[in-house]
Amino acid sequence: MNHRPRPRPRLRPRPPRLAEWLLARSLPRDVREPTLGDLAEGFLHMLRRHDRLAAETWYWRQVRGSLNPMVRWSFGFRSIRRKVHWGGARLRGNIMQSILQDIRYGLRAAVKNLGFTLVVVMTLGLGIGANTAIFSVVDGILLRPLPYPNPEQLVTVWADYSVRSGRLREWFSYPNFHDLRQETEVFEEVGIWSDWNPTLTGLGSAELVTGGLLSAGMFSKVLRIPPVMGRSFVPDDDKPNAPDVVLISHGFWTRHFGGDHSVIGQSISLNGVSNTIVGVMPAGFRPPFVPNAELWKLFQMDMTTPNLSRGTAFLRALARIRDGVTLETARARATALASRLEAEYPRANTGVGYVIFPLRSDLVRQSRAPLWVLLGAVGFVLLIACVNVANLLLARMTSRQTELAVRAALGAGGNRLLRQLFTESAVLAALGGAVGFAVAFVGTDALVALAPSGTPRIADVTVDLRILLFAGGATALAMFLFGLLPALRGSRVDLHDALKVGGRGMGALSTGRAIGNSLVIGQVALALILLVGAGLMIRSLRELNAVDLGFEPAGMLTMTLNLPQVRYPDRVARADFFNRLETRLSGLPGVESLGSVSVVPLSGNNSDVDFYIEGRSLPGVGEEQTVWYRRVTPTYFETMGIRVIRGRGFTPSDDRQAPPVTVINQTLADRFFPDDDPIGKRISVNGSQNPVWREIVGVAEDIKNFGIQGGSRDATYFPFAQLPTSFMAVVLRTAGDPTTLIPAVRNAIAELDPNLAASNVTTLDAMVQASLGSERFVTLLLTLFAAVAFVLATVGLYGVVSYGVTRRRREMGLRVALGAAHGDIRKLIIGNSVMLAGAGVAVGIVGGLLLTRVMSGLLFGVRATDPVTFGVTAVLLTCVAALASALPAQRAVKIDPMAVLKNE
Amino acid sequence: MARGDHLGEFELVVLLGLARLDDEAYGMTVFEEIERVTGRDLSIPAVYVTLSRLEKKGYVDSRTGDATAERGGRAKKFYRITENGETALRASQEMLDRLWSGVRTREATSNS
Repeated sequence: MNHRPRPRPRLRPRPPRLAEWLLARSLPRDVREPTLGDLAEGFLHMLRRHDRLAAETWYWRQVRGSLNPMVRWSFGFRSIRRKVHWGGARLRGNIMQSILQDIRYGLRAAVKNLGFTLVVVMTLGLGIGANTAIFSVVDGILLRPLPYPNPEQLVTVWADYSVRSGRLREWFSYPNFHDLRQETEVFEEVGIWSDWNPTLTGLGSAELVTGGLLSAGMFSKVLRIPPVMGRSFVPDDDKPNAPDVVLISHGFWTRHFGGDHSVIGQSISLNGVSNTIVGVMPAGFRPPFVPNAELWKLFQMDMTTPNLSRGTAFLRALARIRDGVTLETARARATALASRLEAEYPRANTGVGYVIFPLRSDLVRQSRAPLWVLLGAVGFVLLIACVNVANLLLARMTSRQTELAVRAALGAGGNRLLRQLFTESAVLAALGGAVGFAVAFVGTDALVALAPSGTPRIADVTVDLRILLFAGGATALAMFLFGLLPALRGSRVDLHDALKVGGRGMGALSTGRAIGNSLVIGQVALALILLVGAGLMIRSLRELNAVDLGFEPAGMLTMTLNLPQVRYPDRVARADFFNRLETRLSGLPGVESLGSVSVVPLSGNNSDVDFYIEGRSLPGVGEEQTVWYRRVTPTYFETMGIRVIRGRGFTPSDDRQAPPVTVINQTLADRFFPDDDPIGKRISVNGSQNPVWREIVGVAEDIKNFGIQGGSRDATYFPFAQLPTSFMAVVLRTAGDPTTLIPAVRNAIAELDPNLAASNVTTLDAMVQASLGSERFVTLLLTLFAAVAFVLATVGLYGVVSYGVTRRRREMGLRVALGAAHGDIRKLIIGNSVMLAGAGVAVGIVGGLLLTRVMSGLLFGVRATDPVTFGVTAVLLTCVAALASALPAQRAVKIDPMAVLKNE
Repeated sequence: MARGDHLGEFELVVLLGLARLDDEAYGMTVFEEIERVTGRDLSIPAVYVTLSRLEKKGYVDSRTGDATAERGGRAKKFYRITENGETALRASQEMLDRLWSGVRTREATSNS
């Protein structure tokens, strides 16, 4: 007997589950079943007649159309049924509904008092917005993980020369890097990088491009970011005779190739050499080093060339620690390796270690202090703003006493009233938060635009969900800060007092005076701290700007040139070019003088080398004797305004045929020739085996080469004609605005060599200001915050004093009736205000002394506890307090005792 | 009025809709009747909620019908008007008549 398999029942199409659930929760129990049943019927009916979409739409319409009556039956909560008659509308109360009611009421109240609402919402919006904007910068730079896979495994590696030369973060030599790379048990890969600025020709006009040199595994193994097209570098690419290949950035691809997908395999000419493009990196990709690079090429290392001596440090390293290996283990391993190398290569490696830092914290270490200071400061501003809003609300409670008393009389219990008032504040806070979020968008963009160029990770700053959550949190915090107090006060209304005509008002509020006063004292204290902070930064900046740089930056234009090896293969060619260039440029109208240098001060491109003094014993193993060097043309010193203190500068006769000469700086002279005259002595930078002795012909004054705040270091100058290099900058002193000469200079360069591009075209003034970029940024923002805080605190103080006068009308009237003179009344009010401010100042000074210590790393030439700054701001605030109370004092004087006392 | 509660507007509409139907009236049919006669935009849950309220006031009675698979296994509820309901309807009609008498609404003028 064969049984046919039983047909499986077809699943009946069901109405939307969410809609059903909503209805189930909101329908009264006795009609829940039939209603859902009817709706299910109707749903099937619609399904048969039309389609699923129509049926679902119909179902949802049924749900929506019934929502209002639903609210009355609460969403499943046990309802405390209370009937409260209010303005004729009958309300069946329960928690959910009453909250909605309160929100509606709060919105209505907000609209009714539009002026008040605007002030509050704007104040809150600016405060919350500013906080959110600053936070988004803090988050993007300090908190967010780096945009690479497993970023916590990434570390920077430096050579530790602190024992030898005092420098902890020193660059690497190739052999030292190579040995570290072999420690594959702890390192997945170690990569090296260096700056590279080739001249691009053949794609439009010649252009100097920012690029980077890398080791083969840097993108693929260390950062682990694959190209979006083509391939990444492979180990074979960096063999010395491998073909020249480059990776290009997404921006470069869009700009020069228009996004053409056939770019892989095309060649571009860099420094006159043809390079094949093998890959395109993704859009938005920024390696932690040289973030603006558009091209990457490999180091092509031949292990035998002298460039790769263990003592020549010109590389920086980035590594990825192996999964499961801790930082400590890696550090220990590196230290062990350093000891082995020290023993094996004592000359180069004595006292040399490896130092490893987590990448993110190392990258942003200089941004930490300024950013946290700014976040703290803007937080203070929000606190002050919240206090002001709280005071505004408290003051408004007074005028609402009748309304609140009536509400209380009609059955709104203490808790209910509290909830109502708090919800009103919540509505204001929510509105303020919305404004704040908009402000944050604009503010973040402004901050990123104002940030000093070269701020690490500034491109990672973005406003997204995390920031929205912060804004929400700030709003909630603000709401509690300013909403709780007025709500508490308002809900404890004394009925009798409130309803009596001419009554003294809310008795409970009289103790609010103490609270109001403490709040104002807090405001003044916070404002003082901010003013002191801003004042310290302003003074610090002034000190920085007043530092003697050793050269005169005004009216100076500079641009850098990189002569390609291909067209300028030897010294003769290079020296010749710059000779002709200087001659040509000096003929331009507006050029007063010019010179050339291999390293522009404050540009950060410095090089140093070991040196030896003739006739002195060689420095011992591990004892560093290095000097920073620059090559300059003869007119450089005069153009820059650098004084030659002893001997002479260079002349045109110090050329290839002449004996080698050098000019040292004051620091070097003081350090190595403290007792005798350095003029005539000789030094060599050519190594100790085959020294080339150069005679010291002059001593130049020190300049601030490494930064305005830095000290001076041993430095020496060589004549360019004797040691020409491909990478030189021209500096021109101009009459008037240097930037007007830029086109003429570019033309002159192009006339000499159309395939040459100038880069870093800027004025020395701009470079000086840029080197102060971080300090200027912090000063600007702190001053802004301090100014806002100052205004808010003054307004707050004025408000409290003014309100005090209003409340003490009868007392004033009595005093006048009892014979007090106008002056006495004024003194009373102003004295009150000054005392409040004085208390705030005192608290502020104590707090300030504690807190400004955080800033001490940002200051220059002024102490964090500088008494002048503290004193001036204290006096300023006290005077302003006196002024702010002048108006209320005048009002107090004008009180007519008869009018006041009659209302008894 | 014996009870002290007046019929709300929607309550009146639902009660009238029910009155127009026979004993087999349930939510869906009342809903359809009102919709057909007045063209008013309403929802089934609203009708049921009102019927529930009317039941609590004693103006309607209900009995539970059978569940069908089509209704997802849910029972039907049939409603009918009680005597009190009839009284309330009559009282409401009288009151409205009295109020309406003498009231002249202006002719609707078309916009020119």
